[in-house]
Amino acid sequence: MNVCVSAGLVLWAGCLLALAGSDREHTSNLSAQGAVVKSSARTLHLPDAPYRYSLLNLPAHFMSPAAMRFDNTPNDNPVTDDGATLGRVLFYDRRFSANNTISCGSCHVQSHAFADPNRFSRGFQGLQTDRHGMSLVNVRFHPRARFFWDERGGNLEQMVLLPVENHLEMGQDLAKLPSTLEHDARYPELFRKAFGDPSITNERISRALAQFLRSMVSYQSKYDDGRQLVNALSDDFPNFTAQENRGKALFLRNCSLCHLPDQEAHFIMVEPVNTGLDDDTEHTDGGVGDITLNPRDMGHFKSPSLRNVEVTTPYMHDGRFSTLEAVIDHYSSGGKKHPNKDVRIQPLHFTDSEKAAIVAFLKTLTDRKFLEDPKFSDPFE
Amino acid sequence: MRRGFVLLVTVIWCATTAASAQNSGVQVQSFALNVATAALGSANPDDVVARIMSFDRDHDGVVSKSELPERMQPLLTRGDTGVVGGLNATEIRTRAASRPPTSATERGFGHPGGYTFGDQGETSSRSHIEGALADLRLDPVTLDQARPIVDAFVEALDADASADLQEDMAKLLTPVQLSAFKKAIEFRGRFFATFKAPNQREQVPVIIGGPDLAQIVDTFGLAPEQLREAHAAVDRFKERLRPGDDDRSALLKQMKGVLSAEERDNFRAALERRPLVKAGPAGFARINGGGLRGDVFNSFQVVPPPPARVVIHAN
Repeated sequence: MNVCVSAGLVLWAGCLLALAGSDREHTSNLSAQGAVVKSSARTLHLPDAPYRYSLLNLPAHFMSPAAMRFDNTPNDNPVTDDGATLGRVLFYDRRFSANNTISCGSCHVQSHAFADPNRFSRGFQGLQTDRHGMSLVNVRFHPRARFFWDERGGNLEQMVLLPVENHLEMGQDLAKLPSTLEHDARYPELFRKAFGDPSITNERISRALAQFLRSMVSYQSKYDDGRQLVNALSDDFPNFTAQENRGKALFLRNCSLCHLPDQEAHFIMVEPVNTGLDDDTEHTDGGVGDITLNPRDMGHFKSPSLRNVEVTTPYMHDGRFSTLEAVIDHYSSGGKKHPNKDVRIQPLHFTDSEKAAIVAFLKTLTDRKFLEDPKFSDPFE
Repeated sequence: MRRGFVLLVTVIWCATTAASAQNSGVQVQSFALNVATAALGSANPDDVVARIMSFDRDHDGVVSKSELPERMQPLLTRGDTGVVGGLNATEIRTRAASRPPTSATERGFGHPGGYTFGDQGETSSRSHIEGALADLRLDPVTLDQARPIVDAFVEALDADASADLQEDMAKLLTPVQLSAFKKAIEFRGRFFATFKAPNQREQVPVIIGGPDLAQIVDTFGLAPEQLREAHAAVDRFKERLRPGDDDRSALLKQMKGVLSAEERDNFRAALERRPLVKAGPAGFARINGGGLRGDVFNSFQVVPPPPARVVIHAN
């Protein structure tokens, strides 16, 4: 009997250890109706010394007073190396979904600048959402600090948990999430390093995730290299081809009023805009207006940064455009006649060679170092 | 003569700046199209009602929580006023109508709320046409060949527009007023001011623009009908400065031996475009050499330079 009890305890302890050392991965064969899941162990790999998330060697155009004003980092949650490390682990932990099948990183893919390569993201049960998973690149530099296509997320700390509890996306019960993580022996230590004690709370989870997201700063593109070689943005960049420089000139004259406001670093739109994607106010996504019920917000959508836009296809809130050329065609035409269409959306009548030049310039915003940086990669194997 | 001219434009500039500063961000210069406010929201509460009621799948007149996408479900907890567990058209309309209009200032980040066409505040077609040429990024040899053609074209276009305006204004102004007005028309430069952010040492040079002809007209004390005619003449002048179809064709014809067919297509497209720039409380920003410079800083302080140091860049 004693032998049996001992054997049982050993087996039970072995199971616990196995669970503690892994994030339960479910190799999924998802269908639209549900999920057929198969578990397999995933091992966490972290470097002995944490990656440097807190100190960035940002180029001068990120450090101008105008550019710095875009930083939405709150005083009470600065990016720390240990905090972002914890955030990275949480970001890729599939236990954040109700059936342990998907993590944040399942839809926000590093090689796609943390956008979803699929037109519509799929949730934990394989069901499709009605929005495209937007890029998370440089979310730190959105001065309004409101997130999602419809800006319903008040700040990063608040935003990060909304997909986790969304019944279509990850379906997790937030009340149970801390205790779920407590069962993994590594988490208390990661929380201790990040916050001073091992206590696991949803507030700390959200703060760590927000730190990791704010650490995702892309600043080493060909554009950034070129900007440091000239005095003024309007100067031809010596590291650019003639076509790229021409595209830059066209972009600055015709696109920068929305995408490069007041500074040269971030390539964001500071406010949600109706770009004339649809002319129907009733049956198309109302964007911000669906949240505020303000008639003036109907059809307004937030835009991610254009940094790495080459790899964030498909484009727009519903992923309707699969190529950059299609996006530029839209703006070249001036868009559809939605009553709220922004005045800046004017027909631009770009020629084919102008479109090609703008696309060439946009591709200079691709930051390969960022897309391949191990500190942003999935730490689970 | 030169000193008198400098004094004139300085007075104009100071008056413009002072007037704008007094309005502290509300008023934009008269030539700036405050189009953003108008464009932000032509949809109305009925559109919102139709949109939200489109989720009423069971057609019972009430949009319930289960009928809404999850991201919109907080609408019910925030403002469900009467119908249990849902919103009806009346409630939606009431809430939509009560929403404060989102002003451009609220929407923006340092935006004062308006946009204007880049060519709107100038007394010459030069920056627009030269900008279109610059965007072609021609090789130096080709550019050297193209520039004289553009120069001559700009001079002719400007002279034509200027002559028409002077003829119109001669019917409305006294000789003294007309003389002052002519100097403003013929001024081809731009005014610069300096903006400084609170808590910042650096001063940012900002292009204020050319003389504001509409504001100058306003200072002449014209009768209402004459004032309307004068403003209409100024509008026609600005319209004339933008190369029309015939102008573009004429210029491109001259460029035939200089630019390739593709370059001419691109030049035509660039001439047709009218890039927008942001308008500001103390002037308006514009495209400066392709990059946005001197944007609008509604939290910034206007620091007018002493009159003697007003910088005038005459082209």
